[in-house]
Amino acid sequence: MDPAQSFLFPNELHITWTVMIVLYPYITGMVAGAFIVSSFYHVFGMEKLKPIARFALVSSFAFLMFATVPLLNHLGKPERALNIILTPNFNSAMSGFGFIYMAYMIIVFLEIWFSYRIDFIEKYEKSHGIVKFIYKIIILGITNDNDNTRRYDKKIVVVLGGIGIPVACILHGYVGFLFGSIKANLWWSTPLMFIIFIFSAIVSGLAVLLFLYLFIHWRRDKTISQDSIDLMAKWLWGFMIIAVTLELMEILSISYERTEKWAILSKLINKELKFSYVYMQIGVFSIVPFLLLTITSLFKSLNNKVRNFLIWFSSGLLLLQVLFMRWNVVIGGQLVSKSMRGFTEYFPGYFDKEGLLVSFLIIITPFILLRYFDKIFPFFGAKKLAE
Amino acid sequence: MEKMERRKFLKLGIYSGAGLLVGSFYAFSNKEKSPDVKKYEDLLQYDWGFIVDTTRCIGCGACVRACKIENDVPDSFFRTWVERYEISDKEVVRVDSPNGAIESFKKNNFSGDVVKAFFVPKLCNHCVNSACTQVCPVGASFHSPDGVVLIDKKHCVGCGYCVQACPYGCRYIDHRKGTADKCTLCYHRISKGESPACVNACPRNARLYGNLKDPKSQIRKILHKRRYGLLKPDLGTNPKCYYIGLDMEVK
Amino acid sequence: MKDKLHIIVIFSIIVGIIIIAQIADLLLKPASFDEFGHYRWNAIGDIQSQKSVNQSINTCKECHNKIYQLHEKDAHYNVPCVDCHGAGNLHVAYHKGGNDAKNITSMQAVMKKEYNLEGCLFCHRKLAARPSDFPQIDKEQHFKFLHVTDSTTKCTECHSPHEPVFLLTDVNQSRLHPIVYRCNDCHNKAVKNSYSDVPNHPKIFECKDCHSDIVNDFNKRPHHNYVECRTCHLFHKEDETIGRIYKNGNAKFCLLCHEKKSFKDDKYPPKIEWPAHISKIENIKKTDEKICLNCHANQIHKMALSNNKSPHGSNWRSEHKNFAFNKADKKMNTSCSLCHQQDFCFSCHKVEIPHPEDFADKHKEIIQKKGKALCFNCHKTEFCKGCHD
Repeated sequence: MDPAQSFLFPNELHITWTVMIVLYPYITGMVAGAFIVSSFYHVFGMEKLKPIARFALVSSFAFLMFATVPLLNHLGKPERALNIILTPNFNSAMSGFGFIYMAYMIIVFLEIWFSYRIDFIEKYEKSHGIVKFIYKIIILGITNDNDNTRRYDKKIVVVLGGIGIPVACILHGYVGFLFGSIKANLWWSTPLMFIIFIFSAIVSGLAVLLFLYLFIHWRRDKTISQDSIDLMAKWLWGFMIIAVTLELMEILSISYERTEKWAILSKLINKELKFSYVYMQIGVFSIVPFLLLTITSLFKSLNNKVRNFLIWFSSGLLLLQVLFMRWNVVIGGQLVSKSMRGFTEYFPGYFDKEGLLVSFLIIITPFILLRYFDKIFPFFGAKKLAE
Repeated sequence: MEKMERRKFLKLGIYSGAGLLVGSFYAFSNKEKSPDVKKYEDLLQYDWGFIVDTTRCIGCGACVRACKIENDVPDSFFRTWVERYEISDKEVVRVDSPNGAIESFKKNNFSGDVVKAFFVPKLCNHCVNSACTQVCPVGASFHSPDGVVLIDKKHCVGCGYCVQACPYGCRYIDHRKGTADKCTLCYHRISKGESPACVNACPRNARLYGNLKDPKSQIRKILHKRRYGLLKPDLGTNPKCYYIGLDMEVK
Repeated sequence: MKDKLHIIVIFSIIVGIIIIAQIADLLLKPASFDEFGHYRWNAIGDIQSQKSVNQSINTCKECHNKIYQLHEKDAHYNVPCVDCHGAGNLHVAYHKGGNDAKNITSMQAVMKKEYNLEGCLFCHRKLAARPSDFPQIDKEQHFKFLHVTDSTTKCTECHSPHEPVFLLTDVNQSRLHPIVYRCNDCHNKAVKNSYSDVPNHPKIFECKDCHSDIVNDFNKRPHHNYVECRTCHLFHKEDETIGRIYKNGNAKFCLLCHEKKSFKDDKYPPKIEWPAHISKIENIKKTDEKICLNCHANQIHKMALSNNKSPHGSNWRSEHKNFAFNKADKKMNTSCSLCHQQDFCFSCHKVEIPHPEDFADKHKEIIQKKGKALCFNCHKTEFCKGCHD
């Protein structure tokens, strides 16, 4: 029996970028998205977003703490990770990672510091012993608090927020650019990748904020700021439509042009990625939230409880949609052989160094961290809603 | 008074801490012994190129075995390999490379007649505008002055970007060492005037290497006489590996 | 101003950290980096100092010159030693001695010699993708053709790896020849038609196009049923237009088919023991490489052998009477009959040798027909006076 055609270059049997590299853009997507939402309040003064502004900032910081973990886990030589700062090759999209990450870290840290200074001072004065000493270090021993300092603080937060938006866009956008500029990979190479990633990041940022906000308020039985939720849900709906449209346009364009790569990419979509892309990412996790959010955004007469539940559910689905999108892009692109004649396979393994258990831990830990950040940077129900 | 002393103490602590930190950087800084190597100007006389003659290759795999032994290539990864293309009389194309052809090929793919079939050895093309050196974030993948694309194993972090960027699939991450790896054109041999291990092993003169800057070299003469092709020329990498008798089925 | 203190302090700390980072950057950066480009210059030296493992043929020939000479003349001239014997760096270092030889045991220095069947097949297995001019076999068909009965027979039982086809002419001296093909060079299955009967068949030379005399002659003789021209006249391609061909006739080559071996069919093709086959024959140059042809040329095709079809040496014509007739016994030397038939002498002497009993009576007629000169080929003119007056 003459065998069917399937060929890989011998080195392509094992893929290089594993599920760790799926998680990295996922996490930085939430970092960037959450920060941009927070900045819409601080910089553009949208009052409706005030209740979630600080929460968004702290979430961004919590996820940021964990953004490098999947990368360090993946590197062949993580002990040399500092080489990226010592001898960066600026022709490479990845070289910016070190500097942009540090710059963004400084911006977010400063913005949080300036936002929460008043709370810290208050805590410092009320606590004793070691905790008091820790707070003293945090506020640098300066307890000055009056109208002037508050005015200055507010200005600085605005400036930092303003600088932060492009930096956040670059922090996540460079990953999209990195993928889109790899001409060797048939699935990745497109100028749109940078844009798709940013819009997808905003979707994931909004989704995670909505998801957590509603969840925390239900758990703590607090009143929900319905205006913020409605606004964010509408944005989520809008950005989600744009993000999915961009991705589908990309595929429509390739399939219409019928260049050489379409033959193998159509097989990729119809066979290898049929489940994770067609059924899951588009089918379940895009169409369903789209319909649900259409209902919540267009039908004003809907009961708030039902509406909030639908929004919460859609946010959860969209969080998964973004995760699947990252998987389909990163893993999907590596499944295709550069010879355009076949596919390889990938399963991350359960307990491997870069396996499913580790992935689960990496995703879960920022959320746990956020839980404890609440104690240090209380983001809901602070008496004086400082900036 | 107490506040003043505490402030002085804190200042002292911070300054000495910074000083210790900077001092430790000295301790960790890399002082290297510079090994014996030809001068930069001497290396500039050369620009190494490679010719693969697909009309002569018989797919014996001697090159793959020789390279593996010479360069300690890990199992299931390849610095060089041989692909076989067969086109049946029903115009079906079948391409294969069983384990990189390290034990040659055991049988034909088609039971019926084959109208055209040939072997194509592949290796790193040592491109002039290589994508791999462009994307390395730490400068571990670079061009030597004599035109060979090399990897600095002591500096590479193993991020795998170069592996993704290479359109020819000739790079891999050596899982034992954690760094990227690929064909070095046996730089350690050509620098001493010996041929690369694969060229040495080929019983059919299907592989040739030479100095493209020397107008009298064999490689230049062949390039002026025979018709050859490049792999994926549309990607703009300007490879320096020339394939004589390249068929359009070869991607 | 006091109200801005916290701002100044935090920004100073950040700036301080950045400055320290810059200093660290300068100090921790590898020493030779950026010397000639955005890479670590010392890496070039590191890579160059890797040790060579595979040895080139030039290294091997320094010690193994005899094998090298043999190897260079025969068909494997282009196959480097490493392909069959392995890399050899330990072997060379051990035997050269000196610093490099430390820590190498004598066991490690042994090169592998025996090459198993599979190793030969790496190159010589018949594959559709291999160029048609390249010698390749299907193991079963090859063994069937040679009537090899033991399927585990190694190639080296017949073919010496350094001299695989026992070429008479040095490979590089053999004559250039246009490309010739055999049907099974391109066709997998047996071919029924001659190529000239197939329309649009690519133009190829067949031997009969130029060598029709010899081909017609060959077709009348026994070898025709079993071998083709290229079985013995080895051909290999130099490039797309031309190749080299060998007028082969090396005895060792003939023995590839015709020597009795334990793993071969006893009866077929006709087999002999070697060198027992010629050991009893006296008065022939046994070192002549073309020795088979000297007697058996007529079973192949007509050919002009340089020694005039004689294995006996150039002055045999005048010398042979000393060996041919045993004067003591008055009988013919029996060893001649190992090759020559009774009437062989007649073919030159044109008269029955030895002379029959009644020759004394009958010779009168013979002399009348053929003249006295015939007698004087062997006998001196005074010989007649022994009987006649």
